[in-house]
Amino acid sequence: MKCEQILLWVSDYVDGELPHEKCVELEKHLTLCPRCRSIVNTLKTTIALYQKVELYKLPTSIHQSLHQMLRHEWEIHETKVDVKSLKFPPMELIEKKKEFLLLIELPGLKKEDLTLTAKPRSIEISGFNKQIDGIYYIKEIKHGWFLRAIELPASIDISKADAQLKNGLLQIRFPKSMEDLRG
Amino acid sequence: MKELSDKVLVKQAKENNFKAFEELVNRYETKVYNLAYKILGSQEDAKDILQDTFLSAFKSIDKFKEKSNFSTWIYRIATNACLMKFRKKEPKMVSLDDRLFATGKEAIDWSKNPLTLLEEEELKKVMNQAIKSLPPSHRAVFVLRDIEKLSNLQTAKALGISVSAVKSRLHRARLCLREKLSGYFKGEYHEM
Repeated sequence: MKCEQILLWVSDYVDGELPHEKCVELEKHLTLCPRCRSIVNTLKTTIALYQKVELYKLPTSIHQSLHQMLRHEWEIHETKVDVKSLKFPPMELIEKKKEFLLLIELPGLKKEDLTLTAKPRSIEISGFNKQIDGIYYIKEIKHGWFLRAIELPASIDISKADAQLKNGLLQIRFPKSMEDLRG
Repeated sequence: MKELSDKVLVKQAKENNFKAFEELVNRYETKVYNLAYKILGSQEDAKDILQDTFLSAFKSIDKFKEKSNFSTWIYRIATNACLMKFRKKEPKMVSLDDRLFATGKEAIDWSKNPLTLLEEEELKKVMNQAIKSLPPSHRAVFVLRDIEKLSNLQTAKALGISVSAVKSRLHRARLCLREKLSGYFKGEYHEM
């Protein structure tokens, strides 16, 4: 057996992946050839040396900037997702004789988490439903930034609008404008 | 709390649970950083690759079909990013000299030298220079396969190459490194 052949097999041999009959042939050669024996031995040591090199510790500053960057990306991503799915949070718009009543389910939210913009024929409500940190086993409640914009079937009197957030339900009363009442 | 598997965390991350994605980052950031550091040889580059890798994973996790493990997928993104960086930095690829694989007049068996030799700064330097002298494609295979201890199949998947290509590159990389270290142990060390 030629030494060149040994070199072709040596990597599979040290990995234990050389077929049995080739192994026997190679090992027989190694007993006779000190040069090839030294190549096999030093190849094994080369691999072992590289495996022993210690891990580079991830510097805290790099760890922090990575996580900050990802959190920022996630916030941008959240914004995009929830603007698209406009069925959250669930709401009802009811027309009464003198007013419109808008009910919005907002469990867990406080007044300061919300922004309400009213125009004579439309209302826009946005806010942020903060997610609690932790790993979720069940996750059915939507979190993140949301925006809902609705068109009203008649004009309202913005100056007399009244909003109350009670037990996770936002109730907004918009009196109809005088013109609409007359009409 | 029972530690969740990568698979469960991936599922949650796909459902837009950032905390789950962050947990995956915690599990793999040091590995990716080391992989990049060892392939590229610089902390600054390793930091860039780390950020690019997880940003890319974050943006494409919903497209991850889970045919492979998360670890293999993340290694694939990272090694691709490393190889791209190489192409930008070193457009001229070096190829391995086949003469390295001729048996030559090798006689010294330095394998009995204890591994405590690693304490020696000079040896570390030689090992670093030796690995840097490999073509990037071979270096990536060696780091994944022998240092990170991935299987041939995992390495192949991570690099998007065949198992036989992994074996052939690994074989050449190992012999080349052995040759360089032999030079050091035979006292022929000089700046490579």
